[in-house]
Amino acid sequence: MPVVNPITGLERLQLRTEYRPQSPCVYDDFLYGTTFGTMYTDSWASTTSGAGSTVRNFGSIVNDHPGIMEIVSGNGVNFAAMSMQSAPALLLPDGTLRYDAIVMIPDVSGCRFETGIADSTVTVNGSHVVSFLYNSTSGPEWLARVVNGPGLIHNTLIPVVSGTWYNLTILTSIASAVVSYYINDVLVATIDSTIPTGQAMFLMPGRVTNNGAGATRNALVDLVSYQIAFNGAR
Amino acid sequence: MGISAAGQTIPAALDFDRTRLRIYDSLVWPISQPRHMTHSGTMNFTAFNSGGDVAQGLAEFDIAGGAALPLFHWYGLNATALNCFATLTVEWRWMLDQLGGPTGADHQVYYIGFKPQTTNPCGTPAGVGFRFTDNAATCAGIPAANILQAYCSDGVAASTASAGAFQPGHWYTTRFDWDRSAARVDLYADDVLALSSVTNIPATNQLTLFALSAFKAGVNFPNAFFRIDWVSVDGTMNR
Repeated sequence: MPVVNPITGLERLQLRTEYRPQSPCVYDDFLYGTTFGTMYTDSWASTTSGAGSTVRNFGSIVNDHPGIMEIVSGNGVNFAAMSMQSAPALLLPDGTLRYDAIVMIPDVSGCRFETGIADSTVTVNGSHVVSFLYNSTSGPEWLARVVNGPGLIHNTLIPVVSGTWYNLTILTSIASAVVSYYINDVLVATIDSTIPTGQAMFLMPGRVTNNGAGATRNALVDLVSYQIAFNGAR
Repeated sequence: MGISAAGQTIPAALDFDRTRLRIYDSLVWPISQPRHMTHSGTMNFTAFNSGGDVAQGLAEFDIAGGAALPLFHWYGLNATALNCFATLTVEWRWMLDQLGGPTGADHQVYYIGFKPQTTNPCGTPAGVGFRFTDNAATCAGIPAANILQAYCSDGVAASTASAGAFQPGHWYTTRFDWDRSAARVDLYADDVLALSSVTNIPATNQLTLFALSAFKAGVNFPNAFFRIDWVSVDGTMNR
């Protein structure tokens, strides 16, 4: 009886980079850990800026969401925290890459949250990015963001509601030169230019930046999955 | 399902099953200890592969006698609770070669299942699983020695039932099923229902899935070994 990734059907345990010639995959339901606060050290790097910023295990029980990563910014303007791939850098494949995340922003006010693939640092928006973005200073909706030097942002017109879980999916196809965005499995945006082909980026489960002062901001990430399908055998 | 390569058409909607969590570890590993297992105390992990149908990929915990220590070993599913899952089935195949005999106030107790990480398996710790002891007089909550007890507790009170005499050297398959809508836990030993409980359920307690949690008070115990063949976790979620 194999260990099965519920998304891909591949055999695996929680977080593992599967060596399959045409379908490498990273999947993390954020279950692993023996004590609170230490669950991401093996596989994800976290960087922070500003006092009180942190990436940690969310310590509350939430029905239907076992294992949650919480990304918290401190209470100063532009304080930020980020969870990202430890190593190595990733290029968008010639074939397709599918990114999935289950996320929730408990309080959208004053919050900037981004999830996807990027070369961002904790304090600098990346110059090569494929992501979902919510930015309280830009409006109330989820934004689809593709950046390759200059960038495009497409408003999905789907509002971000405090305390609501969203299933976010990004599908990139270099061969077809298009990036598709889905919210709760429904297509909400496609972007066909400024795709960061050949650029080194990182898997980025989430980055939270504080747009205001006086309160911390946070976002919850329940699951991330990255699947790659190459065009040809290797 | 999967994602297509070049020339894809963009689907307008996706069929993506996020509702299933399955973890299965047959404990066949090339490294020093099973993935997602860690341990404390004086027990040692050993990769046990002596051949034969029952010995392909085992985790063996060598339990030294003569020590009075709380010994904890656990499987790496933490930060969770029954209520996180709409349904959950957890199953183990395991064996303990000998339980030893008590001397005076000495006792040892073993626990297999969910419970908080650092609590003594005696008494009424929150958890769902099976436990047994060699000295019921000093291990509160287990009414008789050498009985495999099915156990369900929210940490305040417990629902228990006997699953029969504990058999040293016997390969047990123990399992529990959780159903959130029914708010019920069913425990099986070797596929025989031992306990079905709708009370004292640790639905919201933060628990750790243990492969084994052992506690020894006293020093008069022989060396023993505990082996686990596989562990399976199968949950569903409405997400």
